[in-house]
Amino acid sequence: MVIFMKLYIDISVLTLATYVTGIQRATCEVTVRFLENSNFETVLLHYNAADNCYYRINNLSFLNYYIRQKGVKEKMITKTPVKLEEIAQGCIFFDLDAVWMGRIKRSYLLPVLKRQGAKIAVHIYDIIPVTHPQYCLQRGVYCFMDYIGAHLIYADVIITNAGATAGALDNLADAVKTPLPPCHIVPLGADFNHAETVWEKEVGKNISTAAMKRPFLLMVGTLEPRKNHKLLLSAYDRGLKKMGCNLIFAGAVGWNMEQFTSALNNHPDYGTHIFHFEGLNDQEIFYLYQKAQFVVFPSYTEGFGLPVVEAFVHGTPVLAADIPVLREVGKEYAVYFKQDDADELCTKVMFYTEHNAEYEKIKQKLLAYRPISWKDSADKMEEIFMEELQ
Amino acid sequence: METEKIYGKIYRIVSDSLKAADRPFEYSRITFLSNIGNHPQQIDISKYLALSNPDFFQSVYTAVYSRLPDQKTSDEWERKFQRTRREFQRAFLLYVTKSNVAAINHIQFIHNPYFTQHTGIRYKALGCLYRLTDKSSLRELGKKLPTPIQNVIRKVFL
Repeated sequence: MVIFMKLYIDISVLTLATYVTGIQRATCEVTVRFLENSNFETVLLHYNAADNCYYRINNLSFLNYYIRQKGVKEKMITKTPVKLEEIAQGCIFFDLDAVWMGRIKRSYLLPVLKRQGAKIAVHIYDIIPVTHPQYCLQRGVYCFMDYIGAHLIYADVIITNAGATAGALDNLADAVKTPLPPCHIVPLGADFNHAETVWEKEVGKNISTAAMKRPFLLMVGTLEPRKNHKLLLSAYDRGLKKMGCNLIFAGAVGWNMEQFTSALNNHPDYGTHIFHFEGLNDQEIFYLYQKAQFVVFPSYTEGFGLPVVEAFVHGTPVLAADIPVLREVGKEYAVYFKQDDADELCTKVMFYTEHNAEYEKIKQKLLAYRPISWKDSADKMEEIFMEELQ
Repeated sequence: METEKIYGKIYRIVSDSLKAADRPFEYSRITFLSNIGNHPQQIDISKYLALSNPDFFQSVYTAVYSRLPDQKTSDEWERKFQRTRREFQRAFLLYVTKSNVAAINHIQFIHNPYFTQHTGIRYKALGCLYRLTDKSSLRELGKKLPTPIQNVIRKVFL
């Protein structure tokens, strides 16, 4: 017998996001699968601060917008209010999005829902604002502290993407002397077909022109201090340039990157051998993955590292900083270098440039790589809800 | 309260990490703990009345604006910290209750011992502007505007 429950997901941040990358990408993909496949009745919410209530999002409009690129984003928000009192016994409130930046703080919301008998689930991507706050905007750290504290206290189940994050949560719960709610690991998914090729005519001319500069190393993701873009630029000057390597950075500029972007834009090779693109669509990112010699991941810390999985699915080898979470995600498929060591990064690139047979071996290995699909990821989450929350 | 202890410990972990990285945490412990559990639209002033002027300033400002004040605002109010608590609180509450952010987000200040918040025509008119902040297409357009125009928009809405 299947017991149906209502599943409420607050996607206020996703609906306001310009780029659907990182957490918003995962939120979008998981939400789509819950809408398409789930045994739960899924209710999507958008918080309106002026009216202090949630409004329901039209599920079909959501799918049309995010899957079929049809419709206008604002029109998916209906005028049907969802009062907090409705989220009560028999309901699951699932925090999937980057909700800590929203107006309705979790230290206020979760105790209200708990008193009403709702079950609370949360997907925690990482706790970097607590473990490495120096890499984050202080306003984001401030908001995140409220969110993580509330979930440690009130959540009935936690889902996270990696054992490294589960370990960090365990340490945090220990440090603040509160029991950790049941915590389950569900890796993020990927839904790319190895055989799908993106052709030159499908991408912007500036992209295809840059990608003709081979070989190139690619970094994908928002430019921010913890991703350590400066290491790749440093490695370029210290040896990659002499090897004939080019660099492509694909991602929006985040906070506190003025020094790096100044160095990048003023580099003598910028525009000829070093490129930066913002606002690329999926096709253009996939095109770059397919043409890159390596995708480089020199981060100081990560919650998961979705571009690692995306690179593998496109058959592109990855050079990753040797940190626990990237070892967990990259497994035996990635090549690792000592964190923050530009010279070792150069040495690795040089090795594979001079030993093409070894490079081809990595690419061969990647043919066998099979990530968990987004559907499997969402199904696993639903299984956990059925086990823990029914 | 147990929950307050947990939040307090989280604050300490974060501020210690920032101190070790030579980046002091600009949000005070009092600000963080005072604003735990705040209703999104109601700010209960009675929670803040016992605070010192600097703590009152940062805590209430953050409760309203969800961020720290900019340098100009900080400098302006720091000059008034030596006023008596009553004088300072009254003056600052007059400032925030009349702010665009309070009106646009329909924020009410309850248990204010000094005066009744005005929610007249200006408050209601500005409240209608909330619809503009809630549109992602307008936000995206805003990001493409020249910086001086973006600054004016931020001044009105934020």
